Amino acid sequence: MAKVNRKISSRNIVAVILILLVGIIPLLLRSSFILRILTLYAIYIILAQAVNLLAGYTGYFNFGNAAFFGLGAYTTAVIIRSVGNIGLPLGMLCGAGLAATVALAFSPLFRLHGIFFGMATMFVNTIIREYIKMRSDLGGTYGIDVSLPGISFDIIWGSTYIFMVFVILMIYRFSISKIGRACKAIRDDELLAECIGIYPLRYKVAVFAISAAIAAIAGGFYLSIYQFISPSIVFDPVWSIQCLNMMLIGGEGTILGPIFGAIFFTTLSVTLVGLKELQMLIFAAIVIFVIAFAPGGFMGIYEGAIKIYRGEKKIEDIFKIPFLKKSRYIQK
Amino acid sequence: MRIMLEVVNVTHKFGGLYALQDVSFKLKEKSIMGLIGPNGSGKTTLINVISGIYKPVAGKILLEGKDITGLKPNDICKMGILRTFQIPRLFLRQTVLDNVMYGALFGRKKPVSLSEAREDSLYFLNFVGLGHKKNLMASQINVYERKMVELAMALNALPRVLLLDELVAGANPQEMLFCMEIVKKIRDEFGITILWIEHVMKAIMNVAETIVVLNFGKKIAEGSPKEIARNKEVIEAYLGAEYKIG
Repeated sequence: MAKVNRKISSRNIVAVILILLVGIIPLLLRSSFILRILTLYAIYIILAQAVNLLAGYTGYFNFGNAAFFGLGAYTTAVIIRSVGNIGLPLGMLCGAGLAATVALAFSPLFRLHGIFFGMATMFVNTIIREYIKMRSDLGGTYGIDVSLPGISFDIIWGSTYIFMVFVILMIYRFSISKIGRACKAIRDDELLAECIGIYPLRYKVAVFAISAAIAAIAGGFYLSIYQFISPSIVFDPVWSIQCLNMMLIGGEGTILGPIFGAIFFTTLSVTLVGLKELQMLIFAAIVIFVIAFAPGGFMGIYEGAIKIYRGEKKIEDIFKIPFLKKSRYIQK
Repeated sequence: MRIMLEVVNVTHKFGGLYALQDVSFKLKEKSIMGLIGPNGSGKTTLINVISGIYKPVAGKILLEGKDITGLKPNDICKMGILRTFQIPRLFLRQTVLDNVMYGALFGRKKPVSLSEAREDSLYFLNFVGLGHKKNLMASQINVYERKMVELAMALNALPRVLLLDELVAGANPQEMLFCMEIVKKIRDEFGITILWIEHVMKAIMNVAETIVVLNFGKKIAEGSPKEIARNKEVIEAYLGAEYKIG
């Protein structure tokens, strides 16, 4: 069997250079404004990938992702308040650990499936949010201010970007790993997965915890650019539902899909700033279109286009438009 | 000859409806047993009970003497009992080869490497005659091909017992003959014990060594294919009491 030496292929060198460039060029632009926006892009990409783990690859849609995002933000804030700047990385680590622990504590939720799991996870967010609101030592309903003197937006962008690249690489390795296969099986047909020797619970719980930890770290990065968090901000459903939507639009269960979805969503919200309703309208309309007619999202359309170009498929096969499809007697 | 699988007084009901009533029989090691009966007689329910999807209301399933009643499907798979489904189930968002790989990667008692799993997957795919479709999506192949891929996935787990649920339903005559051949090969070359639910009489009567007949959840006959074909109760069950033969 021919061994492909992956380390030195020219494609990989180009990829590495591109990744380095995308990371470094913003630093040369010397604009805090741009750095903050780009960091927000990176945060959304990280979050979209976090939900992609549990939803896209394993088939469980967590509508309470904001809980972990907020837990990460709050833990980071609290630790910065105690120990200063070093609290940023320290707090994010602790936040990740706390979020993972909370996820493990809620693992009985996996007795529920489909939409019932989604509904129950929504309540996880409510529980955590209301608990934080009760804690006046955590700022109650007002929130927490932090100051990070000496940590410039350069550093914040750099670390967010590095973590984002790390997460993407992790998702890639996950998708081709044995665990990744088990999760895909659980997503595609959980009963069949059981019958072929898979024990779904351990994978679901593990992915839930990891997804939570990643979301928490994203929360820490969010804190670092805005330096103010409150329950209504960080526990807002946008961090759960819109992230799932990003993943859906881009292509669930793919590596690049959530990246495109997050970039699309963030661009929309950045260009149409102040027109929040219009943003949501456009985004929601696209989500509905994708779910109804192009469930593979952007990546699905892209790969379908390639197959059409190669003559392997026709347009009817990519989009689920009823009147274009020839009648199918056998389902699916 | 050892007894590989034993069904002991198995009773199962759904609400008030008895799907299985006091069904018992023994499966000899490395044999092919046919399970037939009219629609609704409880054949698939029995397979679901053996494979762990249902825990029977009463009765036991013994694997080589060991009680495996009520174990979950994944445990039963690891103990060496694999089954196929009446309406074939596959991981439709993945390729044919990836589907078969699951048998080796998760279904076996001992873990294997990815390359070994791939090798074996290709072997079993070729065994069922679908090696040339290994890179197609599972959603792109037809029902018969899906049954074959399901069979390859099950064989890939190296089972000791194989429960087949209507393997040749919908197969054309060539495919049926092919299936009859490979089921015999599965017994002879791999030494697997087979319980085969089937409606296509030509396939099962010519391959099975023993036949068990269910009707309304009860076992009404057990014997060789010849005996079963002449059994009055069996004929009545399929054709009704007014039908008389010679």
